[in-house]
Amino acid sequence: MILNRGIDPLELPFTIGDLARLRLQVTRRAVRAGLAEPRLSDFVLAVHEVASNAIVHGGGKGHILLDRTAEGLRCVITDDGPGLVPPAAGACFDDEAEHGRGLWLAEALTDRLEVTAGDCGTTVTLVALLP
Amino acid sequence: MDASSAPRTVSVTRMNSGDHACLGFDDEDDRWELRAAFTDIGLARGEQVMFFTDPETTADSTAERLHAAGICAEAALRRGQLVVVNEVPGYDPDSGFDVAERAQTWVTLTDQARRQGFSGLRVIGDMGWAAAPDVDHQLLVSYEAGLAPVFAATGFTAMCEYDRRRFGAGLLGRIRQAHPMKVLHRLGALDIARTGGELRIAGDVDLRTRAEFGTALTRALTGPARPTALDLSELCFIDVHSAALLVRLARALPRDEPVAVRCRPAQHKVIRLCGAAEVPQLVLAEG
Repeated sequence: MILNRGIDPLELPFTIGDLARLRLQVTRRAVRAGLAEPRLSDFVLAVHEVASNAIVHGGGKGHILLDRTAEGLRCVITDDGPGLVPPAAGACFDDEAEHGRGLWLAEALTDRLEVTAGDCGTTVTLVALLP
Repeated sequence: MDASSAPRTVSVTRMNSGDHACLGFDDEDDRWELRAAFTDIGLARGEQVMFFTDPETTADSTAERLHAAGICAEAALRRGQLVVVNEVPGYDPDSGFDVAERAQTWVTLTDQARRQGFSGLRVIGDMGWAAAPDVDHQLLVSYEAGLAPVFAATGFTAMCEYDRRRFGAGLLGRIRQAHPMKVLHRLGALDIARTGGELRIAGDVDLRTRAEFGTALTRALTGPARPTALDLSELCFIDVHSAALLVRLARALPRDEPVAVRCRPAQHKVIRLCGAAEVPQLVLAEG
């Protein structure tokens, strides 16, 4: 096992038409960074849910920055929306609260998820620790 | 044409060694995105990747396009793992289409790739030349259908690209039937097909395709002649929203009329996380 494998950072704006490409690019880099199944799919799903959330609640677009840091594989997604705080574990979801469920699962599937909502938009940071 | 001989629809990201697939494309950007994904898998697996393209597509322009998709194409070109060829094996405008020569080329090139230390050969074949009026279309269809032994024997993988704007729908339909697989025309696209009691869903379900998925699944599971099985084995991605919809629709089924769902491990996990275990009508299996 090769440790501390560097990756080319991924940094780009995205809209709804870019989600499939985004998942592929994130998968490619996560594999290179050393993330393996089932955590690989967990991380890609978590990033996808946050990115979808940015599109739905952040004005139809967002921005992603994925890089390897000392902490692990780190993905920062920003948008122009007011943001949503992840509901508490065990919370109930009705049909209209799927975005809440998505964010809650994203938090459950990553090693760290942090939401910062400010006047200019929302920033979500997801981290997967690497082997 | 019965269901067993119909080509299997797959995402380009699911094309494995030994697969022979037809791509009907009509958009250059979508086409390059599929080419990039196909190439990326080959490079990662240690295969040699060869583009057989029109003369305008040079090694430089290919590298540029692939680089834009995040692939280190220049390095692959330098080490000979990526090759761009502007000739058409087995076809010459003067002498016509030589089926045997074209098929033999794939065997020879695969052997050559293996001797060079690659794990196999992955080919992107631009079939634009076959739209020329002197190419016998029946011969073309039998050539594609007759390639099965080449694929079975050598670990050769190919995506044959047919421009929908140049090949008529009838001919393209016959060409597709001659391939064991059909590649989804766009990265992230969705394909839904009903065969008897089974609904087969391939591709990706996300924000872009969720309405299509939701409409089809709701109609299938709430209408008459409900399918008893959902084959999601070629589903590459499902988001939480749509996995939750599947669980909700299954929950509304009569207790004695369950639906069997077959899917890959990652999708199995998402559906489980959306509460599948609490719904006895949803019989979930990996496969």
